[in-house]
Amino acid sequence: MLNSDPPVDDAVTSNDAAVDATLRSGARGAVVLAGIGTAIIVAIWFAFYFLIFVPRTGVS
Amino acid sequence: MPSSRRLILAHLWFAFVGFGAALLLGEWQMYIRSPLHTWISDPEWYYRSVTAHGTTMAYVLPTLVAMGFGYFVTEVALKRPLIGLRWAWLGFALVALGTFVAIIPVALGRASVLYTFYPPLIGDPFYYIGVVLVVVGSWIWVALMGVNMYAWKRQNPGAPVPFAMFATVAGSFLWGWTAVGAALELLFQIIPVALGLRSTIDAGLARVFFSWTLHAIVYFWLMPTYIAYYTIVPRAIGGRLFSDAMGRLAFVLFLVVAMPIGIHHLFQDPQVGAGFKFLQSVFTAIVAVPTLLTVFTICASVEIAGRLRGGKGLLGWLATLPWDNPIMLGTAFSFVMLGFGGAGGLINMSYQLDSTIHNTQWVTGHFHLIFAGAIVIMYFVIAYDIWPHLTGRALDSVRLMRAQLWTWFVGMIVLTFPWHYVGMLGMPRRMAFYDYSDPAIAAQAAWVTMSVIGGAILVLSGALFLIVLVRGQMAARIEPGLYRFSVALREPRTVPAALNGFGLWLGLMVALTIVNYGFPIAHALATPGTGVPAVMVGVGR
Amino acid sequence: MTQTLSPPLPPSPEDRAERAEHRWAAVAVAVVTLLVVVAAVAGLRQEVMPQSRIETVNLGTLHLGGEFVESNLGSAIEPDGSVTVRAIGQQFSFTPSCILVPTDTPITFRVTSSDVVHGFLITGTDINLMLVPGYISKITAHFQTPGERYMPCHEFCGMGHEGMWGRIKVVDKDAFKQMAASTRRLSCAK
Repeated sequence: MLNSDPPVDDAVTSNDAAVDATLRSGARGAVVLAGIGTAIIVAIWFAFYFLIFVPRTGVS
Repeated sequence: MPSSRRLILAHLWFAFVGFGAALLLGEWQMYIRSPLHTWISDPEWYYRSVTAHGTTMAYVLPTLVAMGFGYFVTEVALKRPLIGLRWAWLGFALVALGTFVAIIPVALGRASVLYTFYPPLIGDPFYYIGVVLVVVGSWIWVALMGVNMYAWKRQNPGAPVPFAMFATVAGSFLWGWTAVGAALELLFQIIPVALGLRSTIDAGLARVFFSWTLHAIVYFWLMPTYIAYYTIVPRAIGGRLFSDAMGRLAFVLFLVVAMPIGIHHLFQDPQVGAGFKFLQSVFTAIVAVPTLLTVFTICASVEIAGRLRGGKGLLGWLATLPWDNPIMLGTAFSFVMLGFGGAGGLINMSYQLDSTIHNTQWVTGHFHLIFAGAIVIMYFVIAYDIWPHLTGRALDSVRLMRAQLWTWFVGMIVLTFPWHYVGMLGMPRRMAFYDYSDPAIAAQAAWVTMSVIGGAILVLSGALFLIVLVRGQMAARIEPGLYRFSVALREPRTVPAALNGFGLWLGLMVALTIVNYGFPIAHALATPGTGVPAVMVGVGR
Repeated sequence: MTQTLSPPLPPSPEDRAERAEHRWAAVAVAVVTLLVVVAAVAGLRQEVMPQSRIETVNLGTLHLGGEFVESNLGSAIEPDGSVTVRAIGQQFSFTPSCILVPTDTPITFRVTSSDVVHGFLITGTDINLMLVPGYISKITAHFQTPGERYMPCHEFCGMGHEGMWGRIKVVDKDAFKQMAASTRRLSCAK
């Protein structure tokens, strides 16, 4: 296995408590990251639609 | 270490050696049809290579990786030896035998029909028989996955099936059913003609059968990658899997909806009506959903790891992630390629948008980016992670692993981005030669050359990959310890039956296949006079 | 009887996680629905619909009689002024090898293969078809400007596939009408 264990933090008494602490943010970072990624993908789709598909249907 | 480790190593070595050979063929193909090389003098060499490259990369590599990783998961997740080890070896033997039976006629120039077969072009019957043997060998694996899971369930009534096993079985059942389409085409249409028992074949029906397999097969290829996202990555980076339930849901959605959408490969075909094309376009859109769910769940799992390492702020945790870990690196690269490849896929599935690029080099660029890129890079990651548990030896060429993953990623981008572009310019697929001196085609020349450079980087990366694995076979012996999968945020004590078994989902999968494919197949079968003469291909036939 | 409700507990981390999941799932479904709707509307508006009916043709008599005999291939003016183009793909060329069409006219392509699966692509447009022997592929088109385009076969059809390039020439509507006065079926094949 290739494992990178997180550094031990004295202020936290257990791994579960640490995880709970991070969850207080409600996975907002993931929403932002996945949201940006999805937005880029949708933008690519619309770029193709307007810049390539529509002009070609005009030709024929 | 798993008791079936020699079985697993056999699968993976066969797969990766085949991969290496096919990779070289692929780069040769890129070079030979680029401006860097003049007319090849005999185009049959090119199509022979394309057949060998496609057959190996599509039917041999991913099947063996799925099988080997599947056996690994079975033993490690269920914490006991594999049931049916002898059957598993038989399955491997069939796959290996089938590979040789298929590749030899191809190598002799007797079956240059491409891995998509394309009747009424018909090659040497042993090519097709070889492919059938590979599929049959893999079906033994499918049966063993089911047998092992259900045996465990009987011994652990009411307990949640370990997530890695649940996902693996979902993938195996998906493959079992999706392979039926190509099997029908091969057994009832192509092989009888190749053996000379019949002289005509309905090409339209054959394409419909093949499309049954053609889309879901890529989800079969994708299964080990997604299983790694959920079960290896969070553990490797010191985090937790954000949601066990969402993960199970994603895999059952794949099982049901990945299957009956293959007609989006036939949008421009005349043997299927517009109604079913639109219906399958909508279902293809539905299968994008479990991927979007996966992207979120994995980002959230990675976020946990980042914050546990002290990351703060909305995205600051990205910086604290263990980027020196090849698994972190490979996963990030995989997600980037999944994003771009997925965007291309969404375009392809959008019905009329497909008419802009169907069968242009865009399509080839797309599936190399998503399969050879996003999916296969995680095959490397899986191999790196489990290798010591198979060999009992250290695998510590970590810098080489990172270099290998970097070169695979960079090479793939350089290969596929220009490839998409020349497709947009209208470059058709599968030609052994292009006249770049023609003003209409000259604009494509520089981009094609760029792809050749990308391919060369990939060849280097493939060599590094094999070097790492070979080193791993010769390194010092170690005790690798107990292999662990990732732990979920809330490890479920019980799981709803629908997310712990497959009865409902298999029923839905079959029902959806009937709805989406029943009429197109029936119509093609019922229409008289669509059998056309076979066109034999191959040296001296 | 009144009930005293205790103040609601703050959401536990698990609850927040679950809510984030559900919200994301809703976003995923919404995004996918949007793309499907746009694609469907585009299809209807742009009128680039694949054929709705399946038409078959007898390959055995393709060259002997019926719609695709050689004398019937090429561009034909219909009574209503539209143009029907009939063509065949075979290993390794198209007949007619150069298709002639007018501008500003509704055009219907009816194409088939006389042997194996071929492709039919007019570069720079979305006229993109598969030719499957035994079946007729049909698509409508409308060209606005004159010019010449390549028409390659884009599907592997055998060892000569790389040589299978046709051409299509779009000429001014009036010029086309003049040419049509003297011949039944037009093409620019030489």
